[in-house]
Amino acid sequence: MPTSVFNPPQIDLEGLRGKFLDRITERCLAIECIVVGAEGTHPTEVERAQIAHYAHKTVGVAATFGYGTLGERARDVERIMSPNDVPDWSTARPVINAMLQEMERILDDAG
Amino acid sequence: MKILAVDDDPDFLDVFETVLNGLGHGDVTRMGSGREVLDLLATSEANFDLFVLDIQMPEMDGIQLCRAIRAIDRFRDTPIIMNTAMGDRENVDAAFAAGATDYLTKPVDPVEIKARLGVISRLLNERELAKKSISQGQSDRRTGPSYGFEDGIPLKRVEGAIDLFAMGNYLKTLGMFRALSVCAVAVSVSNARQIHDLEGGYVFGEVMIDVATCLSDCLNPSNRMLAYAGSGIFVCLVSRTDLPEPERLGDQLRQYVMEFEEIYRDLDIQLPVISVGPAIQNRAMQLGSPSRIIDEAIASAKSSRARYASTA
Repeated sequence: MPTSVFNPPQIDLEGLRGKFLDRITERCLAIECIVVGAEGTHPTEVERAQIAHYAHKTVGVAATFGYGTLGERARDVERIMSPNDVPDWSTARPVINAMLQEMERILDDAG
Repeated sequence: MKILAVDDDPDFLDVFETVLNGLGHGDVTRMGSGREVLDLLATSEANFDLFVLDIQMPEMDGIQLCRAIRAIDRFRDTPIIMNTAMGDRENVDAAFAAGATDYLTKPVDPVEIKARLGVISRLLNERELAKKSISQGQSDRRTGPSYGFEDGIPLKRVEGAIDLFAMGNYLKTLGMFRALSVCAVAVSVSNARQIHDLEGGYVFGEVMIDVATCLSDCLNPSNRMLAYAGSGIFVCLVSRTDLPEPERLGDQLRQYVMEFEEIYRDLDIQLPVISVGPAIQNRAMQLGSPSRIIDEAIASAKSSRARYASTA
């Protein structure tokens, strides 16, 4: 049957959801490691780039799986960690924490 | 439609390919880097109808890859959609300047992808029909593609020239404030019909490329963007801050065109007569369709053409 804006295409992404959640678990752990390691100091440039990279990858697909809030939090992190806009770690950290909390909430819900 | 999707994120490619398959596009090749793509395109006769490129990739980014694909002759006109999570002006401008046809913003939205691919599919069909009509009209006195009066003419040798379709897409990606800062100005060759009918489609195409080159030279090199709309009409997008007076633009363009006078006289070809329309800008109430300024500029050029025809 043809689809339209009023009859959006139904795409079955369930087969990919488990893989996406696995990836979120990996990213969540990796970012938490960087954040804990930076306690009392600040992350290196490489670590900042790593966080921005994880956020960028999360922005690309989160909303497609129905995790729009995670997509927004990840976009905030990507934006604040971009090379042109690197703030103090004390400013960046709450933004990163908000993304991590959303990741954890999704993983908890998924059981 | 044979699609090549390029992204360094395999998860994204999984989702994108699944969405494309779900929309009935089963012929999808996926690659993870620009280098892989260029190796494939250089070493084989692989052909694709559409490229979808991520912008933010390590080593070679999507904009560099777009430029490299455009440099390959058989992909000069193949639609290229840029796909990225970033939506800033710098990337949008750089992507279109590198030859992008359209621009998608992540995350993947099946409805948006369906709509965009539908438009691309129609564009490919129209080009196929145009190619057929061009190949059937090869009875010119000089060799080369013979264009119909209303046909599109590729302006690949002209700095700042993009496809009219891509120009419309560019406007749609700009957002409200950026769209308000841009004007469309149409430039018309008033005697285009006579040149076409007297000289044939090949010479007409070459004359239009000459006019486009002169027009490009008149525009600010840092952000010039022009497209050919068929029927001897060009559209340029100009920042409101760079906007030249139509009279001044017309005078400068006529001066550049006059440099061809001797050559045209020797070849016994009419010199193009140039007319420049008013600057058309978006109004806040009409930002739902920012690309309408292109249509309005073209309509304005056509109406002044009609006035020229009635007085000529």
